[in-house]
Amino acid sequence: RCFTAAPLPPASDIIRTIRDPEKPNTLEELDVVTEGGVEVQEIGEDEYLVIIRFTPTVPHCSLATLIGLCLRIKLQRCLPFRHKLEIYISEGTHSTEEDINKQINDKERVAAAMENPALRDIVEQCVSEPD
Amino acid sequence: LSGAESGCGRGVPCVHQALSHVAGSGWTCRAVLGDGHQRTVRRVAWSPCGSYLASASFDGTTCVWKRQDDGFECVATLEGHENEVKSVAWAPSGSLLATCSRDKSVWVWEVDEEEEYECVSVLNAHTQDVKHVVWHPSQELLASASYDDTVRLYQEEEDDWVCCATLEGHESTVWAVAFEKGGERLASVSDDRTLRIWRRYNPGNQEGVACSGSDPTWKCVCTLSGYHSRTIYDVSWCHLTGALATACGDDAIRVFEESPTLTLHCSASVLRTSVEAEPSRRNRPRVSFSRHMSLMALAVFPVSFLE
Repeated sequence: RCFTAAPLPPASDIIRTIRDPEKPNTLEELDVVTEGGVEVQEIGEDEYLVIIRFTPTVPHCSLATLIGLCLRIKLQRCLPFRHKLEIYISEGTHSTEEDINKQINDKERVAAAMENPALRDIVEQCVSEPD
Repeated sequence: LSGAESGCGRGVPCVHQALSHVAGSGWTCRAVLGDGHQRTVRRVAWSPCGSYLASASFDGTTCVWKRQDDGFECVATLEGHENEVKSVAWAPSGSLLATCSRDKSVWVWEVDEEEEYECVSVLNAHTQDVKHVVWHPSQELLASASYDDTVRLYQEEEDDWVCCATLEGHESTVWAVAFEKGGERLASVSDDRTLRIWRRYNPGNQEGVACSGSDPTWKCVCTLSGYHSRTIYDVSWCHLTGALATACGDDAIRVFEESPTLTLHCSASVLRTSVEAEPSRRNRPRVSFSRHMSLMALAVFPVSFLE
């Protein structure tokens, strides 16, 4: 079952305002994330599986990983319901997409990366709510 | 509940004593070792003799703590890994320690009678992040689980530690491994949502499994798929009952038991609030056995529930 309408708060609302790490635009403005790239499935009572597929603007590997990290952090913090999260690069948009997908879905790697102050600062800047 | 000071250190009020009286559990927080690491402490392990505690940290170091009358003292800091240390394990003899890291390596350390630690080997067999290391229950044989989708085994051959076996089959990161009590079988769990059992075949074995020279061969003899709906992070093999327990990202613990006719079934699955044992909706649970098994029992058993 795929929920796209209310009463669920759309996951896409949470991620559309994330800023690109390099450009002054949001991920939505750059078409990195689209409504179609967000899938929500009910997996239990009041628990949902959220799957995000994003398209990085450039093939640069570390930037794609960084965007994936921003998506994960923002959703983990802001989704108001119990959820499991999977984040993938859209198929065929990146040469090392399997490598990137594996990294951004490895919770230990994500946790360790977020302990890196420089990386954490960048992520925080990208996910913070606009004033 | 008052924040009763109980000498835990760091000025952190310890409510554990108060809580223990309420809960009746009788546990007391004896020590807080807050200054040993600068980042997440990922794993802890007691030495076989119980006098030492090893801690592995994302700060790249492994500390060894010695139990004293009034707490614990850090008696060694093992450095060398280039980044996060993910696991640490003591060999049954107590004189060897193994660590592993995102730097792709497994290190073997030796401790002497003077409590001096020395790195005796740096093993670079894995091609990616190493998640877990565990020792064989009775032999100085080491197993490691990695992001490179393999399990590797190591032993000392002619004064050098070498990788003596590579277990391939998992289709994604292997998060943990566990040896059976007798050490002839090993269980591994993975991001590919399967639990696999591997068996050691020694040279000259009656099943006719080929071995190269005098080295044993390890073969995957059983794969359990469709039971776990998300990544499996840990496995434990009970040395008393033979039961296998798994820890899964779908919030459930599963217990597997083996029946006398060499079939494995999921005997219980304990979820967060209710006892449910429904296997993943995505795949029908499958238990598959390799052709090396002498009994070709293939079935999915109905799940029974723990009272």
